[in-house]
Amino acid sequence: MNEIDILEKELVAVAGPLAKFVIKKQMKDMGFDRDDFPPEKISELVDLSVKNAVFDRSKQRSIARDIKRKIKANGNL
Amino acid sequence: MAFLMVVLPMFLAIVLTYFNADDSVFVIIVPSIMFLILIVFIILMTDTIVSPMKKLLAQVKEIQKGNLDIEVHVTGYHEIESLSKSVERMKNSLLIAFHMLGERDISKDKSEKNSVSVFPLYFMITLPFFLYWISLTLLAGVLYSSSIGADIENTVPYWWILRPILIVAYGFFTSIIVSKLMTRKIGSPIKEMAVIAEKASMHDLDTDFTTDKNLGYLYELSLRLDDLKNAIKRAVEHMEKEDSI
Repeated sequence: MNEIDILEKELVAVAGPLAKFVIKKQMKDMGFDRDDFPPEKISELVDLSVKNAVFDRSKQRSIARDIKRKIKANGNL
Repeated sequence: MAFLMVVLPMFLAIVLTYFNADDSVFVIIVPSIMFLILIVFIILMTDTIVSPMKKLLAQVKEIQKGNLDIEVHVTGYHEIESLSKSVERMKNSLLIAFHMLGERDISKDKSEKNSVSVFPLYFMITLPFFLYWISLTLLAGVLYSSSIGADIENTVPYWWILRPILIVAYGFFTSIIVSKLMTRKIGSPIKEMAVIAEKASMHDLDTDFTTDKNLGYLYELSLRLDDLKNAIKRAVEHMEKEDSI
């Protein structure tokens, strides 16, 4: 499971099935594809995706932190 | 509740045996007082199921009206809390659709076409307990009545000890039957709905919510959740179409 898969799985669990389109749009806006997404930009992608998929601002920071921790635990960050 | 249904017959048997109640008035008064206790517990138990469902239904109605700023949060049994989390996820997805597509129209295809009665859910929860108590009272009345009870006492040895055992055993077995009935008729549909809602709020948008029409609030909730799921499905299809262009 790569970092984008983890992000997608975790964000869908929080924000529902449309979260994966948010991630896709963020990658596109950053100028990358899923296959060639640079690992050093993952943290930024997590922050932007959470910001645009979770509308409760008080939860955004903790959700982004949890997702980054899970990606890191998987050895991808 | 099952505990109460075992303890109350024990109490009934002890009281009737201790006072050696041959008087039919006594046989009626004691069960009547205990019936009032049972009613209080039935109301409390019904409330633990129906109130969270009503609250969740009200929040789903708000979402259908386009009010996507509410936070869906209902506490209660595990399945009800899981259902509430799934609805919150579905609402969040609709909010994403609104931000990305400008879509805020959540049609009420099924839920607006079907009139729903709220009475059956209360009825289905309370009826087994009423039947249980009426049958227990009748059994106690027959066993302790001066005419029938005395006839049996003359023919059956150790009747004085068998009589309370019969009442307690009746309470024990009926509590098992009522618990199983409640699980099958109320618990299982809620559990099933929670499972479908969890799938629908994550990835599976093809499974429909199906609930017995006789379940009032639950049935209405399943219709409304199905409409929410279909709104998300339409948004997903729209975005997939945009992606492919």
